[in-house]
Amino acid sequence: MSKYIALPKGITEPVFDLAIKEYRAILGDAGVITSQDQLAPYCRIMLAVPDAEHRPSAAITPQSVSDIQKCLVVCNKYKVPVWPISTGRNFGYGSAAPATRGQVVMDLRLMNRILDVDADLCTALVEPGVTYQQLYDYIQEKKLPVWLSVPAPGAIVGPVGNTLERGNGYTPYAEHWMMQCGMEVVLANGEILRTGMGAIPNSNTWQVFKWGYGPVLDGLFSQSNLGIVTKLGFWLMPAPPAYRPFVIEYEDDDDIALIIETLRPLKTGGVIPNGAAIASAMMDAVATVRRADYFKGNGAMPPEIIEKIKKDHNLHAWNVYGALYGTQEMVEVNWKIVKDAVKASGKGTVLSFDELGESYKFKYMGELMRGKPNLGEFRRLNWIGGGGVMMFSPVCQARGSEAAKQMKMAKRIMDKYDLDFHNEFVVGRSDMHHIIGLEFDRTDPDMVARTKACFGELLDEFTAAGYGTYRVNTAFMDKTAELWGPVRRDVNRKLKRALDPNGIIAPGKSGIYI
Amino acid sequence: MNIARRDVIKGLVISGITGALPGGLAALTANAEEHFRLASQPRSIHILVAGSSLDGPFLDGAIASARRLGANPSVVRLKNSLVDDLNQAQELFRSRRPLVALLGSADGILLVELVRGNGLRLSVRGQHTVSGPASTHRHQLDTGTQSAGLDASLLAGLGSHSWPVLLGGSLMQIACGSSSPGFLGRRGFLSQADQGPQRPENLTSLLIQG
Repeated sequence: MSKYIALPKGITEPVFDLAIKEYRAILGDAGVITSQDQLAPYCRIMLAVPDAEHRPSAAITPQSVSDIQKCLVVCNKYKVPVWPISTGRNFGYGSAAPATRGQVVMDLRLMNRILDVDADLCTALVEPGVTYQQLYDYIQEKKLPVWLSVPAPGAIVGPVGNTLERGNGYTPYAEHWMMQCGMEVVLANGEILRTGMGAIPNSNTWQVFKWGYGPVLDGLFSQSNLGIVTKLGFWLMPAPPAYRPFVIEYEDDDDIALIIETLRPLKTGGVIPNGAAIASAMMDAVATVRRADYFKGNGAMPPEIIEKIKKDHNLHAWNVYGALYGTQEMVEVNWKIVKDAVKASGKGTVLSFDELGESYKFKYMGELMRGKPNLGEFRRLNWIGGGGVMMFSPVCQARGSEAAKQMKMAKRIMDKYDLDFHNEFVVGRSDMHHIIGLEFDRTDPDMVARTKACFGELLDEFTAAGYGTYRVNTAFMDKTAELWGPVRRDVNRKLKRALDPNGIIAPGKSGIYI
Repeated sequence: MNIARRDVIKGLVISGITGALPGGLAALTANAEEHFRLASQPRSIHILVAGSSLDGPFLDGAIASARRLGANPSVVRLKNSLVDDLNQAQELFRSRRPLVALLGSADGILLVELVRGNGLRLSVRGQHTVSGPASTHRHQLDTGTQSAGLDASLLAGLGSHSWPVLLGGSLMQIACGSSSPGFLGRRGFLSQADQGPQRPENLTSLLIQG
C-alpha cells in the first residue's frame, strides 16, 4: 500500500519519492507535508463530488520567491504538478483542494508580508498569504485613512486569491479585478515577470498605472494556471468623511424587475456607488435561521413554510443593501435622490441603518459595505448543515426583465431537483453577479446527487441561453471550459503550452491543460 | 494502515455492545497495562463543544475515557459561534494540546481552516446528520489514525444508539495515544441519544493534534 494518500497522475511512487526528497532539501521537513492527518484539511471540499476526486498527494509551503523557483525546477524535472493556493479558502468553489487528484498543493500562506500601503496614493502591495483581516488590522493600527473592499468571507481569505478569482466586495471598489494594479508572477520556467509598469526596474508607478507598455498581460494570470502570482497590487478606497448604509425593503417576490429598473440609473449615475446587494427573503433566511427548525423534509421547502419564516423573522421579499459615501453634503444630496427615486417607483421602503432594528444580516452587511471583514456569511453553512455548498454565479444585465428571466429559469431547474431556491444580485455598473446558493448535506447521498445534477443542468441551460458564469467550482471547470467553446479552449491550450510546456502549474484550472 | 473514509449506512445496528455501567457513566474498557502506562503520563486534552443537544453524552464519553486513561480533560464551551469570534479557537491552538470537538457545521468548517493555517494535524473528521432515532442518523468519517482496530471500533460505535458517548470516548482514546481498540459499555442507561436529539442536528466531530 502506498505511503501517500494519492499520487500525481502518471507519476510512480519511486519517482514521487525523489521529488519529495528534493522538495524537503529545499523547504526542510516541516515545509513538505505528506502525512494523512496533516493533509486532511487540504482534502476537505464542499462540493457535490467525493473528496477523493480532488485529493492532493502532498502540500509544500515555500516561504519566498526563491523557494518557489527551486520547487518548480523539481516539478519540471519529475513532471509533478503543483496547485498554488494563497489562503486556500475558495469556499463554494473548491476550497484548498486541487482541480484534479494527486497534485501537490503549493500553499503560499507563509508568504504573508504586507509590502506596501500608501495612504496618499491609496494603493497596496501584498503577498499571497496576506488575509483581509491582517491588512485591515494593519490599516487600523497605523491609523491610515483608507478602506478595503472585502468579499463576504473576508476575514480569513486574502486579496491575492480573491482578486485573481475575480471575486467582489460591497464597497465602491467592489469589482476587485478592476482595482488590481500590477503583479509579480513566477513563470513555470522560474523566470519572474512583473506586469504593468513593474517591468521597468525601480518603477514607482507599478501600483498606480495598470497598463504598462504593449499587450496587457495581467489577465493571463487571473482564473488561470499560466504562472504563480507572488505579489499583487491593488487600489484602496480613501476613507470617506461620511457613510450611510441603507436598506430598501420590498414585499412582493415579483418586485425584482421594478427594483432593478429603479436601481440601475442610480448605479450608472454614480448616486449609489457600491456593490449593492439585492437579497431575496430566502437568502436572508439562510443567514439567519436553521432550516431544520422549520422543515424536516429533504425536498424543497413549501411556500407556506417560507412565509412563516419571513413572518417570524421580519424578512421581506427583497432587501436591497446599499450605501452612500462622501462628504456629509454629498451623502445628504444622494440620500434625497435615492428616496425620491424609490418613492417615484411606487414601491419600496427606504430605511437608514439607524432606523432599522437589530438584525444580524444588517450588521454584517453594514460592515462589509465599509470594508470591515467579518465571517457573517458562514452562518449559511448552518442552514442545512452537512458541509456542502456550491455557488452558481451567472452574470446578468442590470435589467429587470433579464433578472426575472434568469430567476424563472433557475427556479424551474431547482424545483425539478427539489432543492430550495435562494439568490441575490450584486449590482455592478450595468451588470449583476446573480448568486444562487446550493447548500446541501454531504452525508445524504440522494441530496448530493440531486445537487450535482442540478448544478450541471443550471450550467448547461444558462450557457445555452447566453448567460455565462463569472466563476465556477473545481468540479465543473472542465465542463464550463467546454461550454465556452473550442476556440477559447484552444487559445488557452496554446498559451499553456507556450508558458508551461510540462503542464506543471495547476492543470485543470479553468479547464486548461497542455 | 490508513483507513479511508467510510460511510455508515443509516439503520446500521451493531450487535454485542453491552457491558456494565459503573457510577451512572459509561466505562471504556482498555488493556490494563496500557492503562497504567498512559496513566503515568497524564496529558492535558481540550474537549470543545458549542451548545448542541448532544454535548452532554459526548462529554460523558470523552471525560470518562480521559479519566480511564489517566489524561487531564479540560472542557471548553464556545461562548459564541466561531463565526462571531474566531479568536476563541486561536487561543486554544496556542497551547498545542490535542483537541477533541463536537461542533455545528459552520464552526466545524472554520476550525478545520484554522488547523490548516496553524500547521496542525486533523486526525479525525466526522460529519453527523442526526434527526429522530439513532437508527436514522447518517455519519461520515475520515480518519488517519494508523490503527485499524481503533478505526473499526470508532466506526462500529457510530451505528449504535449511544454513538455520541462512544464517539467522545473513542476520540479521547485516540488523543491519548492509545492503540488498543476499546468499546464503550452500556446497559440500562437511558440517554438522550436513545431517543434521538430534541432537535435535528448537523454536527462535525474533530480530533486535532499538534
